[in-house]
Amino acid sequence: MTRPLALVLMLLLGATVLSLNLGSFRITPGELLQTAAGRGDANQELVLYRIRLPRLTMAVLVGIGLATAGAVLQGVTRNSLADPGILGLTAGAGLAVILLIYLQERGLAVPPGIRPVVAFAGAGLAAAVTFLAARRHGVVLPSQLLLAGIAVNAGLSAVTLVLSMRLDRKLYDQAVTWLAGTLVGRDWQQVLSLLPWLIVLLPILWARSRPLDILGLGDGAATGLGVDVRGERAWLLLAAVGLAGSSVALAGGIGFVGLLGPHLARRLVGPQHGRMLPLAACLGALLVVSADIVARNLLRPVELPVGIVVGAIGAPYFLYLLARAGREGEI
Amino acid sequence: MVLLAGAVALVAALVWSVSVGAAGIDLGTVWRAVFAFDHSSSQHLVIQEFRLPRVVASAVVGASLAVAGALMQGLTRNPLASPTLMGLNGGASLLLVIGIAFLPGLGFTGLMLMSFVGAACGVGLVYGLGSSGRGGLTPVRLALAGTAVSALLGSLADGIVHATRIAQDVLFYLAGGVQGVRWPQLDLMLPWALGALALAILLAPGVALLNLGEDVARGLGQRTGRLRFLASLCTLVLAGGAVALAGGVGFVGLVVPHMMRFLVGVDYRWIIPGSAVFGALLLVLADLGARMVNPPYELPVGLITALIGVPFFIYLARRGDQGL
Amino acid sequence: MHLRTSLGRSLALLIFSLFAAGAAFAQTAVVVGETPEGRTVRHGLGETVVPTSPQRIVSLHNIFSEALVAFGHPPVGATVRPTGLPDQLADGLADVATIGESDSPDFEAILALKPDLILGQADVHGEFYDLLTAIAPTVLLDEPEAEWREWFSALGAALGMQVEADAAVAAYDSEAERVKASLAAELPGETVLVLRVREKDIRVYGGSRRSGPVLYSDLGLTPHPLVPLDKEHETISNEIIPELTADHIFLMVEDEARQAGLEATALWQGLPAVQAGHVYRVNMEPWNRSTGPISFGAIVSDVEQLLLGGALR
Repeated sequence: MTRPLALVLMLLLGATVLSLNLGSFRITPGELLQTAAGRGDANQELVLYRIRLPRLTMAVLVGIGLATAGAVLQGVTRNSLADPGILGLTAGAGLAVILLIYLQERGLAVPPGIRPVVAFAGAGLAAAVTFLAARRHGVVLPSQLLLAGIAVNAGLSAVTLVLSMRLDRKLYDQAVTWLAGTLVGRDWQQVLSLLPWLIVLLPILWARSRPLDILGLGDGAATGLGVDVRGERAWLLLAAVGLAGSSVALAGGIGFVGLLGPHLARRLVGPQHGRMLPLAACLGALLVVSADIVARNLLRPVELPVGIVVGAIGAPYFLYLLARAGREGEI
Repeated sequence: MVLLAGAVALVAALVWSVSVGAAGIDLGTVWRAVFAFDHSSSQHLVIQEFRLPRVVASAVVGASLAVAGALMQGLTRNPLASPTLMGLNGGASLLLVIGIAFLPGLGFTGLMLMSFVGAACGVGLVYGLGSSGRGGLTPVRLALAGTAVSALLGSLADGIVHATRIAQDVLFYLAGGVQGVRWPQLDLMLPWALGALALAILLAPGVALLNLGEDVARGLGQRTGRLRFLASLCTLVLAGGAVALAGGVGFVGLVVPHMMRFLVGVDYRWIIPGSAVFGALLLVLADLGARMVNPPYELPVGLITALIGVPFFIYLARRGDQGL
Repeated sequence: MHLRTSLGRSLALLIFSLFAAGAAFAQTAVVVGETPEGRTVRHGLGETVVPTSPQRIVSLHNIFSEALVAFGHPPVGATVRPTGLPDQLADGLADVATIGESDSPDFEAILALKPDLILGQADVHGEFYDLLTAIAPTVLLDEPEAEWREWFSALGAALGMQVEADAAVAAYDSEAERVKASLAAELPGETVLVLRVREKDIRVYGGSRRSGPVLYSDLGLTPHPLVPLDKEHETISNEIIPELTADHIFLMVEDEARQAGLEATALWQGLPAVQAGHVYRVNMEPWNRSTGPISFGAIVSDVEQLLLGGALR
């Protein structure tokens, strides 16, 4: 284990402990330990096992998912500014959710709990459209993918805007909160629907870190080194879409995690994916968990969407990165 | 020839647009309302106070965006350079949000000025970031810098919006559309826009030379530094003015110059005036469409231009392997 | 690529079939049985046993807060809007604990209040139903349209407060009846409309919900021909302004800048209601964001003051 990874894991552990101890329901650290040992009262168990722990787990998983997806996308497209959102995922999920709320307002009966499914479908469809638009003669070039993603994003946002303007204010505020990214009321059920994606996809991606390194050398060099560029790229992208899509479906449009995690990781341990991917994942988790602590507690009992807190933490750092990269010609 | 045909079509579109609206008013009355205005007739008032300014605004906004796009593409020799992709809306929305949230009582005019400043800053930021690196402004780098800066400005705006719950208000300013525009706003913006359009046409020969390459232009006696500065200024005024008047109307600045390249060739002396005429035509028609699709609702014009622009953008991205 | 698109297609199919199968939410609470522990109430997400006489109720939306205040039994905790408490509920909810905003309630704060019943909206809080139920018995209902009396009375029955509910409705009805009689005597046949001026559009409010039934049914006011009686509202083009010839215009303003611009036009100034000084600014909260006897009572008293204030003095 590299030293940065150990450090980040310690920080993550600290954030976890802090997160479990903070909230509107007063529980002392001692009581928390007792509850964890199975000797708490009913309310304390409820707070720990039904409210704080599932939400914390969700924050960790979403952070890991988004940061890993971002790192893989950046590797595949050879562009450090590629964010999971750039494939149209977030915009597609957002449009699907707005559409659902819009139909709901017009009297469509919607079973609760369907929102993540709809969001995931929206994310998947948008990514599929982006791929189709970027594909020429059966090949998807990285630059084409980025440009097609930007176009698809613009189109989806235009439609989302029109729908949002027609919404009743109450539902609109709800939609905005979702679009901004939120972890309100996340329960084990949602954790369980996100977990399989990570369990399946993370090991696959970590196992592919060497081909990812080689893809970074350019298509020609990679082919020369015996990598099936087309196939490798398609599978890596598909896996990244699955990770990012499932995270976005369950937590809304949390931005910047997919940019910041990998960026920081690269600065700490260099560009090799074998070392960089796990660190990026942990940094992503740390970022979302810390942001969630702030989101829940800053204006308690009023809660901020966690995506906005991530943005407030991430945006200044990102601006600094951009300026530096611009100066050094790294964009 | 193409220019002439475009101008004729534009005049026809303007007349058509003025004569169509929610209030059914016949053509003769429209004619009299414009040229023999009678204060006591409510039909004449409708034409003068609502319909005429919105039609003029759509023409001006269309021309401004198209010319701004043409200038950007000429200066950067980058086929994807255009206001939409360069942080225009991000900057405008951030300053709009600040204006609405923290400076109440600013008024429509004040908000317009805020979004003007914001748009100019956003474009400046992307342009600076995208072009400062080694190897200059490649299309992908520009597009990514634009997306990143937009995301950045957008998340700042989101934070303020959420803290103050003004989301839907901002949305209405950002959703592209000229239906709220009346003479006071036009009086403020029109001189700037027309001035910048005229300057752009004056600069056109220089931009044409610059498009051949910095060295060629300098060899032919162009003062490229001064030219770049004036043209950039022009772009900021045009793009900022357009977004201030009409909010986010995407893709006009991307689509129209390419259309002109197809119609009149690669000479910027023709592309720039042509973009002005056809940009105006496109937006007048789009606004007409926005009104006629689903009356009495109006669609945001931005939706219509996006419906045209997105496929076109994808086509461009797919076609141009050169430099992409 | 083929795989991916067919995957998308089957996902889309799945979703549409889910739509088709989705059961409609119950609009009103229905008491389906009595047990020693309480009443079994059927609501938007299933059946819940409500205590016979709930003492510590948490409200996740203003519509329930208003109902509870009207029942004379304010909640122990309630969500707030970022704009604060609506004026018409400010007194009734003065001592109530805040539990966050309606779309992101603070579950720990709710738990800390030790509630014995939670009331929320099916469309907003449905996704939190399991968690809420783990905290306390939860009843989720959607906001009613025009038939709010039945909704309100049924909620009263479900909470064991039917007498209070019916009394609150009756008090509102008799007040509305009194003002209706004076309106019919003083301003027979004069037309009214409710206008909302937003950033880029103008809406004429209709008769289907919230202020609509109060004005056009309870108070018997004559709607202007442009009022869409069967809809919540209709968006109009600013070119229609000369046709807004109602005798009285109630105005909800969100965008002062836009309103000022509109008022400066000759067309607006030429309207009969403007020339007669019969344009009235009204408060959005009771007029357009609430349902219940307190808010509707506030509308009735606004109308009495605005339309009859001069005549009675």
